[in-house]
Amino acid sequence: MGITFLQPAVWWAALAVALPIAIHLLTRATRTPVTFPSTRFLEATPLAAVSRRVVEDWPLLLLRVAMVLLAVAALAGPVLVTPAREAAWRARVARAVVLEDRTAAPEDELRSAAVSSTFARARLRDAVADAVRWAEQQQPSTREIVVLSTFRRGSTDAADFAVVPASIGVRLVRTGNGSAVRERRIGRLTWRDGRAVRVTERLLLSPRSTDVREESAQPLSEVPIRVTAATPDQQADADAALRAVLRRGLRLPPAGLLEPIAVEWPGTVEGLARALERRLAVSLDAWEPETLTDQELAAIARPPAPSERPTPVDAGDRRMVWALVLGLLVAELWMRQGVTWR
Amino acid sequence: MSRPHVATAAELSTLRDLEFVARTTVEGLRHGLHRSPFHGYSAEFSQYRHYRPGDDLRFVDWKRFAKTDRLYTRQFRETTNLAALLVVDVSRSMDYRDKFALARRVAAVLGTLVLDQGDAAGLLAVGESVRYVPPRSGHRHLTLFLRELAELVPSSTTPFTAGLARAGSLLTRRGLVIAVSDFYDEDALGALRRLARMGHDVVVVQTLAADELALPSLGPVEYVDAETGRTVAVQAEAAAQAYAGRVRSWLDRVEADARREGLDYVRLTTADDLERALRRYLLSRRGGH
Repeated sequence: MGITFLQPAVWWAALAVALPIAIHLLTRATRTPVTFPSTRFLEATPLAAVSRRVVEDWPLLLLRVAMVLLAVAALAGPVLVTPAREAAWRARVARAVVLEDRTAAPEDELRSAAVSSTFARARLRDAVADAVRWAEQQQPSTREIVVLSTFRRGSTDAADFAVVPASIGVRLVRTGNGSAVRERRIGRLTWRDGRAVRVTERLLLSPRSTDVREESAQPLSEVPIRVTAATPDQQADADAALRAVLRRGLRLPPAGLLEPIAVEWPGTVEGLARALERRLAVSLDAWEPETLTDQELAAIARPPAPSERPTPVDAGDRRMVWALVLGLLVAELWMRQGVTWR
Repeated sequence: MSRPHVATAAELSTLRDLEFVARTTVEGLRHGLHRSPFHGYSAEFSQYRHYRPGDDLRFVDWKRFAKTDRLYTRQFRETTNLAALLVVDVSRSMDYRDKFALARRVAAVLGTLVLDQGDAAGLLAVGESVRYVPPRSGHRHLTLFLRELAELVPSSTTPFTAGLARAGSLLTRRGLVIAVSDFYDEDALGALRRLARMGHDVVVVQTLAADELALPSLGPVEYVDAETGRTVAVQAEAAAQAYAGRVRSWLDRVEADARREGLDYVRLTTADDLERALRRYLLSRRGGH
């Protein structure tokens, strides 16, 4: 059983006890006029000098000092440390829930924590960094970051969690439909046998593998892509470069290439390839079926480090101290009235 | 008729058994217990003196003449009654706590004693007006004496010396003067000295409040002189020791001056047991004879 303070720095204000002491010593007491039979035997006394040396009313002074100290103690946030409270503080968890998308976090994760917050960013690693910053500012003894994700390969890795301090736990919870097998069809424009061919491929996406198979190849009467050069001399080079790009294969959007397109000749084959990819290709990241394995996740996860000194929590004990201050104030008023009555 | 209340009945009655005996001879009109300063021809033999022509032959001691062959006349000391005048200080300095009440009680007790033993007692208080009860005897006079005493108010700016001077002019015969005052009036002792030299038996009763001997702890106080209006700001605790020393030496000086002049001196404070203090004084006074 002890006592601790939430804002111990406030104790600097305890220097204010000098105030009632100074007032008590420096304030000239009111001179009481008293009619006396003869003043011939009295010599004037320097009242101020005497009052600075003599403390006349110790109980009143002590009461005022105690009042100031208790008021400062109340402002410093006193917390009685009992075994029950200590156990409760150790059980406190500050939980940062990192979401892969902006879907709501599970209620039980939020409710079971003393304090929690959710983080969702476009990239999982950014959300983890945010969560670490938030967790480091939390006081409770146990802190952890819970990541709810499908953990697609490439979306995150162990390096993203290197910034998490050792005292903060990491729990990885696999969620969503990452395990579902999905089928996608994708078009590809290529150059076979001296002419352009539209190839349709079937993608079979499973959690562990990606299967790609050609379904059909449709020869085209003409290339639906036109590369226009600035001068007629360069046009031949541009057409040759297009044929070179098509030989490598050019991925088309899922809906195919419905209308012919035209691009300007950038001057190089690679430049043309990049220009066409930007124009036609779509990101396949969202289709990535491969996820981190359970072993890989287990290597990243770790339990939160138990805190040796649990942080006290405000339990409203300052109200009790304020009540004491109020009681002392009443006593002080009563004592001052008593002095007057005397 | 009930007596005006200035002293409790117990205080008045407990001292009646004491004779208020004047130490020095006083003259009076009535025969009593007190020896007369005049060597008359009453019953109590005093001394012989050589016969002088004209002496009453009845008082010639013929036996002594037969032995010594000289004529001696017997002289007798006449016993008379006492005329006591109580002079009470009614200056403002007496108006402090129970000091004036004490002075009034002392005057009441002593006046009653004098009257009860068949002597005459009077009262004199000189303030802005003069209150004077001529010394007379008798129990009816006691009522008047006590009533006048009860009506005295200590509010005068007239010094006590004025009352003593007036007493000197009012007393035509030698008697007892009891001066009841705090004796802050420095000239009062001189006036009493003059009364003593006029042949009066003078008793100095100095009455003081207990607070006047030792300052009470009142913290910072602005003392206002009751008579002069002079103000002195003091920290009572700091000034108490020096004050007590000065008052003590002053009291000692007053007592020494009074005794040097052959005056009786009694000091009474409000903290004293009045009956015990007066009894001690009266017994010592009677023992002196």
